[in-house]
Order: sequence, then C-alpha cells, then structure tokens
Amino acid sequence: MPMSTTTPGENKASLNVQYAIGVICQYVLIAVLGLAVVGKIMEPQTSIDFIAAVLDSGAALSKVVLLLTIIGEGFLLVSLLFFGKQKWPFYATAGVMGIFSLLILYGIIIDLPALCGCFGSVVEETAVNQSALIRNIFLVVIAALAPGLKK
Amino acid sequence: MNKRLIIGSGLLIIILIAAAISIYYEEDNLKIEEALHGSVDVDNANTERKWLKKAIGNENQLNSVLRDSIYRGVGMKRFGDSLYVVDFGDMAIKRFTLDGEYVDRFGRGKGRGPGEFMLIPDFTVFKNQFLFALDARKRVIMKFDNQSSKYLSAELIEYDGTRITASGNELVLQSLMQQDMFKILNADADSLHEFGTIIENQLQNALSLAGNIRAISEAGDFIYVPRKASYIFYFSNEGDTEKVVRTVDGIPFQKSTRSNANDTRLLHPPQSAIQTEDIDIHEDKIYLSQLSTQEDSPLPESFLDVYDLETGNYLHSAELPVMTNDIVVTNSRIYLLTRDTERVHAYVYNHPR
Repeated sequence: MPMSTTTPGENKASLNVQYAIGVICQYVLIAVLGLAVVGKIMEPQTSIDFIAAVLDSGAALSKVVLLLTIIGEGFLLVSLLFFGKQKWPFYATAGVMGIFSLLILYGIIIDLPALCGCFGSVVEETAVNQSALIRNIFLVVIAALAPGLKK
Repeated sequence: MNKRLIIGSGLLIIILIAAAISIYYEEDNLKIEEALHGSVDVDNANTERKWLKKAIGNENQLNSVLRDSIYRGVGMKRFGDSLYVVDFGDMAIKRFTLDGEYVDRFGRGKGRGPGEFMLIPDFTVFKNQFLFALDARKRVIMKFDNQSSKYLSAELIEYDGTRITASGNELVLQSLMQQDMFKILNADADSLHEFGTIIENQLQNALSLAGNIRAISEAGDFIYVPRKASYIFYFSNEGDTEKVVRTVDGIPFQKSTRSNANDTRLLHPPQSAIQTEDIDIHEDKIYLSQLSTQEDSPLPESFLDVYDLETGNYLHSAELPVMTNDIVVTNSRIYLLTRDTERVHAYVYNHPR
C-alpha cells in the first residue's frame, strides 16, 4: 500500500477548502440567477426580442416563453437557496444553463443580430457572442462540480 | 423542511406575479403619456381648424442661383437676413440672401476629414458668431465662423445628436438614444447639464420622440415639437417644463413598432396621421409645417398650423401649395423646402391681422 503524504489535519483542511469552494459556487449561482430574474422582470423587452429572434416567433409566444423562463430560473434560485444540501438543484441548474448555452451557440452560428437579454437592465447587455457562451459554459461547469465539492 | 417549502413557494409566487405584470402590463402603456396625464396646460385638441384661404399668395421668383446650386435640399433655416440650406447632394450648408443670391457655404463636402460632413441632421447659428452643425455619422459638432464660413473645430460627442438650437448663451442638443433627451452645451460644445426626465426609460421608443427644437427667447427658453405626437413643450434651459400644449390633432405618443427583415429586428417609428415636419418662430407665432399621411384624409397633404407663441393657443391654418418639409416665415414671404424636388420655393405670405 502506498504511503500517504498528507496528515489527517491537512486532509481535513483540504476538505474544508473544497467545501468552501462548493459553497461559493452555490452562492455564485444564486447571485447569477437572482440577477437574471430581476433583470428580466425589470427590462423584459430585450429578452422578448432575443426569444423571438431565436424561435422566429411572434411577440405573444415569446412572452409566454419568457414568463416560463423566469419561473424556471426563479425555481432554480429558490431550490439552490433552500435545498442547497441536495444535489438535484445543482444538476437542474447545470441542465438549464446548458440549454441556454446551446441557444447562444445557435445564435452565434446563425449570426443573430440581437442582445442576449440574459440580465435585462441590471447588467450591461451583451451581444450573442463567444463571451456570453463562455460565461454560460462556466456556469454549467460550476453547477456540475459544486455538489461534488460540497460532499 | 415545510417551512422552507412555504417560503420557497411564496418567493416563486412573487416572482411569477412580478414577471407577469412586467411582461404583459407594459404592452399598452407608454410612460410619456402617463407622465403627461393631467399636465397639459393648453388643450387645443378637438378644436376645429380655421382655414385661411388667402394667406399664401403667388410664388415669388427667387434668384435662379438658389434653384440651381442646391442638389438635394434637406434642411432650411433663417438666421438674420440669410437663408441657410442643407444640401445633401454635396454635403454642405449653403447660405443665400432672402432673395436667393448665393453668399457662401459651410463645409468642404462629403468626407471624414476636417470640415467635411457625412450626414447633417441639424445646424444652428450662435449669436451670429458661430455656426454649429451636427454630423450624425462622425458624431461630432462642427463649429464654423459665421462671418467668414471658415471651419474652426469639431467636438466629438459620445452620444448621437439629432437636433441643435442656439438658445441664449448656450446650445441645446436633442439626443434620442440617451436617458436624458436634452443637453445644454456651452459655445465650446462642452456639456453643462442634461435633462428630459419625461422620457426616462423610453429608449426603446426613441423613434417616437423624434421632433424639432427651436429657441424662443434670448433667456434660453426653447420649444420641442415631436414629429408624430400632437404637443408643443416649452422648456427653460434649466430643464423646467414651463408649459405643455396639446395641438389640434390630439395624437398621443405611440410606441415604436418592430419587424423582422433578413433576420434583423428593425425598429420603426409609429404611424401617425399627421406629422410635424418642421417648425419656425416668427415674431409672436409658432408655425408648424404639417403633413397628412393618410390618403383618404379630408386634410390637405401639406399645410401650416399657426399657434400663439406666448399662450400656445391655436390660431389658424393654411394649405401649402407644395408638399413641404421645412418652412421659413418672414414678414412678407414663406419659404418652402419641397418634399418631392428638394428645392426652395418662396410664396407671398399674407399675415392675417
């Protein structure tokens, strides 16, 4: 059997750091979802335009989709806030962020001339571009890793 | 667990209600109309137009230079005894006497170099000393010596400028894509302060707010007349709304519309049955150049509405003989910049007593 090079104390410290990183990831996700929900509520028009452009839909359908999106994000926000000890809120968040990433990737491929509307008016709007995609992929990664880190 | 479920569900319900209100409630509400509700000082809406049949007389033959030297006239103003015409054809502002004799020109033609224009949405003369012209593409205010027409300088502006007027010792700049609609600048085109809270958060409806501004006193007061809504706003250059006048058509501010074209979301200004193309101030009256856009309208295609400058009361109207964009009114003439030919015509104007 190989000899361990770390002491039990160092192991415990390492686990504490790991746990802390997991908690930070959780609160980063909560903050991002909170901004997304508040931003879309305060300035829904950009999101409606983005949805209409991606789905090639009219205003009525785009508004329904936006309402469902806000509810979905709100549900994830509440889940991460109150049920953060369980794994499913993180995996659900990763899944939703993954879908958003695919939509942004689609937008980049078809060269969609629209703002992403991700955060409404709370954060300065970004175009549908690589940085928006990287940001979303980063969120998918931390949502997927957070439950493991919080063990 | 139950407690967390209850709080979580409560939060979700609040989010749902807030989102639904935000998405659906805004549809039919334009905040500017809400802000205006109850604040109109003079309401001319529902007033019958009083047509003056003989206000506009025969055409005056101006010097042929005025006709021949303008390729595409897109703007016209009078300052002192001179008529200034923006020529889109060779991208310059040309100065003429009131009889149409050519005096000189401001600008070295189309281009991005010093003294060259790309697009001139508006210009003004400041205390007979300087001519300030906006360039919407270069995003600059260009300054010329009004006596010699020599190009002096260009000041970069971070925002778009659509209209400019010299008001007292300052300049008023109208900008549609900013939170504040009006900016007060000094003679060096430095921004002194901004205002226009009435249009706060109306950026997505900016096209609905396009219009004209014109100084009305040496003290710095000016009026703003929207193109597609029936109002005259009186402002001081401190930013106080001194008076709001509803003009005869009573058309409210409407939302911009959107459309898809080649995968591009386009923003369109709202449709309006009557459009105010230009304004002029002469003595104690406001002259509005109006365009009727509906084919089956009983109104003439192009006509003049006249209001009392001090009170804002409607006075009378007169049919214009040609489709007109810009107007200049003098003691005996009315100059019309035509919409179709983009040339200047002058007619006898009989001011009613």
